[in-house]
Amino acid sequence: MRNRAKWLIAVLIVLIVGGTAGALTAFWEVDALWGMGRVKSGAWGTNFTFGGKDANPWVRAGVAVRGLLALTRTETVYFQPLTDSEGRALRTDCDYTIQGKGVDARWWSITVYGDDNFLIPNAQKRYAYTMNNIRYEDDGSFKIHLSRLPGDGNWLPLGEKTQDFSITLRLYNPGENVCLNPEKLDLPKITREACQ
Amino acid sequence: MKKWILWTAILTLAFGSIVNVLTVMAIPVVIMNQLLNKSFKDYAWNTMVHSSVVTENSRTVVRPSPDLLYSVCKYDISERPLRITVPVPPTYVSVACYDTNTDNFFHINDREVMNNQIELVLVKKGSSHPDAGSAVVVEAPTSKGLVLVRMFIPSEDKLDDLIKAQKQARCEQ
Repeated sequence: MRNRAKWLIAVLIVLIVGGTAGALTAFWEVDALWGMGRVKSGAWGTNFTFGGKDANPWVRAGVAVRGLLALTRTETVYFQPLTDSEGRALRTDCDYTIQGKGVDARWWSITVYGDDNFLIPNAQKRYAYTMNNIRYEDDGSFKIHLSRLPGDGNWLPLGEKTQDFSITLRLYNPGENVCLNPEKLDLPKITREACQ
Repeated sequence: MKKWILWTAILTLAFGSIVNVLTVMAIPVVIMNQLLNKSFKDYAWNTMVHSSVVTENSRTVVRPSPDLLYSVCKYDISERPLRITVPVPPTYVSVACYDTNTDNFFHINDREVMNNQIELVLVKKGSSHPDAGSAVVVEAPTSKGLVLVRMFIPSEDKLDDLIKAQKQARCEQ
């Protein structure tokens, strides 16, 4: 009888402790590991298996949570910076400048998202710039100001809520070099200016 | 006594690892299932639904692109194939098909078609191909999933024309 109770406790421990720990660590893993296989280019990074059958289960789960319905790399490459160009987290209580040139793709856009992965509410209803509507400098480069208060030229509002934010650079129909030599791409620099 | 504890620890680790991997693999399936049956519960199956311009209030699918007009079609081809027809206005247009595992198993864009529309016939993998005429026959790995149409908004002044084209996109059985 005592032996039977002992094994019953063992089974309960295996099911409850093992099951709970297994499920909880899965969510932690997806959050921590979905960037594995990430290809870097300056502060920007991407994973060429996004959206595809060749994605491993952690990347696939991460994309489902943070970028559901992504296209595969032959159609679109999604670059995201984890930090500014000096390695600091992106925060809405700081001002930033994104400075760069066009990228080899049929069209590109730069969009800002809040920590909930949705567009940041703002009175101007402005969330992104594309290669078509951005204002270029005389030398063909562009500069985008990211801040709460209005900036000159191309300006993307960071909204009122203090939060971490993220940026997505979408390259639709990317040129060959984007996938062959991503680390050599001259992607825009993200510079932190003043913080409140 | 020690043997009992050792076996319990080993089995807990083994069971935990199995649950861990199964949970990771289930996340995309659960999310797609929620999208099809909860977020898009008011959308009829095998019918194209056209979304308006993306704003901060667009909160159904994470990280929407405000530069695109989206149309979605929940497909169920368990009994019959699905025909998808999307006009090609003078801008970037793509049609992407996703299975219940969230994989983008097929996509095509405006530059890959000869005439002024994208025509697809979606069939269940392994089933016989119907006479599709000029349409491209695509085999779907799962009998349910989602078709997503993207149209790039080149400028504000083209928006009205683009919305007219968007509304002509359809999927039907």
